[in-house]
Amino acid sequence: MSLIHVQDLRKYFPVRTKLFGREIVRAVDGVSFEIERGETFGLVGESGSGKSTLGRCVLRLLNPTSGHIWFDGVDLMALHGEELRKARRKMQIVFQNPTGSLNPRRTAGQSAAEPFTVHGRLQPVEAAGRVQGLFRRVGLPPEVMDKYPHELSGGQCQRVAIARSLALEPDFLVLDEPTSSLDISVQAQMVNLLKELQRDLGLTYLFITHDLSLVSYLADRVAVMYLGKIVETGEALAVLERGRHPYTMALRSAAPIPDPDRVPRPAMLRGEMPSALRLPSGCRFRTRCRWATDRCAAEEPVLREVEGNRVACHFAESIVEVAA
Amino acid sequence: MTALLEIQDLSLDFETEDGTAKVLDRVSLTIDEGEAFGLVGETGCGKTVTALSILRLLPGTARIRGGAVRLAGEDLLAKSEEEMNRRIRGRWVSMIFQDPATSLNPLYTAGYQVADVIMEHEGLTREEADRRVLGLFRQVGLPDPERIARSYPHELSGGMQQRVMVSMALACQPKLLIADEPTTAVDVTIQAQILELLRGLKQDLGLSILLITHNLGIVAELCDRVGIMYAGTVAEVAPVRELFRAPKHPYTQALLRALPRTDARGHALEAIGGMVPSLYTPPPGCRYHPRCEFAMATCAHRRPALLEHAAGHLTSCLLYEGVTE
Amino acid sequence: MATVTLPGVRMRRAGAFVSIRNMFRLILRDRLATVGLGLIVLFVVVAVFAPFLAPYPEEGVGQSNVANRLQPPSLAHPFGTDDFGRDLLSRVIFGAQIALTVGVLTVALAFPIGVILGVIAGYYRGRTEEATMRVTDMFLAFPPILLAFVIAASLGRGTFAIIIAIAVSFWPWYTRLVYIEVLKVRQQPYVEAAAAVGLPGRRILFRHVLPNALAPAAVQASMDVGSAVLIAAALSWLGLGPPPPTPDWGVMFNNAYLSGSLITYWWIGLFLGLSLFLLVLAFNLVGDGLRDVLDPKLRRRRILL
Repeated sequence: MSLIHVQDLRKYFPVRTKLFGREIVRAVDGVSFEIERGETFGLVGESGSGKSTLGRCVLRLLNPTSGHIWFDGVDLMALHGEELRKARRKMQIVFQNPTGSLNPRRTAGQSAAEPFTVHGRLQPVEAAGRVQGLFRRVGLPPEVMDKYPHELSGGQCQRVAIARSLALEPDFLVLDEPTSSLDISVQAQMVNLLKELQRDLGLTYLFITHDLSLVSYLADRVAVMYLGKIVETGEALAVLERGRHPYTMALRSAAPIPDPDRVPRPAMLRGEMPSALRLPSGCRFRTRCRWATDRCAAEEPVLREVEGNRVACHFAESIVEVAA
Repeated sequence: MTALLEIQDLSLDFETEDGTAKVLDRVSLTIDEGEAFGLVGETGCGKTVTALSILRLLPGTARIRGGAVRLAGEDLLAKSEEEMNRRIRGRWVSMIFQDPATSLNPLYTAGYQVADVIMEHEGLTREEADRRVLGLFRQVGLPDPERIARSYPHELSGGMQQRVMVSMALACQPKLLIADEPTTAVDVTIQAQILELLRGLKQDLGLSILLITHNLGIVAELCDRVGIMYAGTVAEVAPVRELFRAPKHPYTQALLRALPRTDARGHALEAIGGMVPSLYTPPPGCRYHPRCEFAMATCAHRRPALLEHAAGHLTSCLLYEGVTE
Repeated sequence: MATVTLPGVRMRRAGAFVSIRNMFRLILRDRLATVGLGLIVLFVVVAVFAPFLAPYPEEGVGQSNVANRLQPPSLAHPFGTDDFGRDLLSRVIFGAQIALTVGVLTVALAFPIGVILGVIAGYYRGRTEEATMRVTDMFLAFPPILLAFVIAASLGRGTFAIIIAIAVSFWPWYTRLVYIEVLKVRQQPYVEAAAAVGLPGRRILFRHVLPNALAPAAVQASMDVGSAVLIAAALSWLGLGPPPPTPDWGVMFNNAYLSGSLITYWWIGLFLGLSLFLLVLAFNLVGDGLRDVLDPKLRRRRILL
């Protein structure tokens, strides 16, 4: 049985756009996937794709509008209050902005110890000892415990955040762009740390990012999101290197590779992502897709098996990537 | 190829209440006409400060300790503020910044702001300037220029805002465009469009571009030559192909190895040990030596010079000066 | 402008945390704020040791000495004497006790109430927010002095009434300031992180949100001590203060005004006014210094790269 099973998850935000009008932003619009124990599942997309919203919904940090989330067989949507807080021990999140995710008025040690004070009812001495252990595990010297976030570097803050998320020994970690604000060399350290922790602690990751090279390095399986829907999913390399959905192909083409001999392809996509308030009919991607037809406007494609991946495109079999 | 911009041995400090930060230490680089030069480095390496030195937009705490910045032969450091404003900023050299949303004034329409620049530098009337603005918008690939000119920045998407910024930078036909992390704040598909735009401008207008970034991928796509900076010094300068194929400086090599790649799956990434040094107390000798896998004893007290060890390929490392211990 | 970090350079980024320890050190770097702080210390010392510092303590608290009435300043009476022959300096010294008490107590009363309401409104949103903020708006619609006057008048004379009255007119300001800040703070990643860890709402509120939302209100409060003293003096002058012979500065103004001596004899108005002015100035200077330390947007020095 998979650790995480998300089914038809939807998250809608009501927005007031005009004086008397209310419109709906369909940030996550019917998303289903499963994550196996011990795997790293990559969630890829640009801003506005809904990936961060989805990540938070899986933990019920945001309450989904509808749909189901099963965590180790338990339906999270059926839990409330105390039960939900208890379930939270098993699933944690690491955010994008390392310094911002720590309370500026508390030391690193206090922030990392906070989960203990809520759930474990530990004495301060015990808690401090556990925090030291956690810090050691994430590669931080014990002196850091008494420092405030603004006295630490971005990389150190992120390690503190990771230590905090590990305090309650979770099984599942949502990582929301954990390295995008870090330098290349610090990112490498962080990624190594995450892999090591996964191996040693048997963690399962939902890794949210827009960086294709990072996700192709880390993830076992991947889902590509666009405007609230998954457009393609499957084994990481199969999707990222041989993806059949036009958007996946565009992402691959657009992602800059540090190889000067790679001839730059012309930007594949026209225009920009449409507003979430005015979703295109049928396939949401059609306004930027060079292969769009009338059928794309009339009928919304569903995810279906195409050569080992699941792709939501009417013409996935027939579209051949244009050589530069 | 004639050199358009020459920075020679530029050294710069910041006097802060915490002491003197030695931000730049004998930085040298040249950019030719019609060339795209990528200046790469991690946080705090001084790449943005270097760019701001060209335009003399440094904060009040900055003190230039030595060196020269020459644009087409003229020393920019010697010029008066007035001359910098009149001739250099916006005319010979333009700059675009990282976050287009905050670089554009939310109170004025896009067209108004760009027209302002034109009117300021060339003394045209507003009608004449507005006409030029439409042409510029077309040149940067903005669809429906009239509508965009009438729009306020918040009504435009990130990609369009960035294009407006580019058009503002191009308004007075500069020779050098400085782009400070122009694509960090936009999505990767928009980033591709912006890079394509910059490539086109370089080709069509013979524009020189100084691209500041920490992303080696876009450097590979856009730039002709690359400079790698570390802690206020220039570690290496080379043509782009050579830099990626045969990097000389240990820092460059380590940086390239730290990039996550598909073919590295299953192996740990090679992270660089240690941390970037404080600029208040930079390491003596070579600033990289505490983290360098090839460090020798001499590295701790002799600062390597930026020398040309192969055609067009400069590096500052004692390994190439014949030092063996 | 690109804002870049220099490794090892301690940048005061927006919202950077300043501990209480650091706050004092930073304020002392600001010369004007230090002057303000010094004045406050002076006033406190004077108030605490009034019976020992006043040259004529009995006159200070009220005993008349009619033979000496309305003497101009001299060595024996540096501030001169008042309508009843009492040494003005002693009266002013004892009055400092009342002034400081009123100022501090008023803010001490209004601040917690205002802050708690603001925090609750900003964090829980919805109907609580609407209700609280509408009530706050109603109170804010009245000019503080007018509101205080009405309340004090209905409560009767006396220092106590004045304190209540001014506190009631001040609390909405803190509510509004804290509310705005809470709206900003609750969006910060660390608040979300606290929720992710499983902290209950109230704990998040008081541990994470409140401490980070206090700064603007705290700055306002420090300056309000001075304002409170001014308003109290005005109310006393209007007849709502404690009964004579209490050496309340406002009451002294009132007496002198009613007897005509305020206009005729220059020293009474001058020294009373000067004392009031210095006290209010002191708190304003400290408040300014506090704001420069706590509010990054208004800070003058910032390293922009």
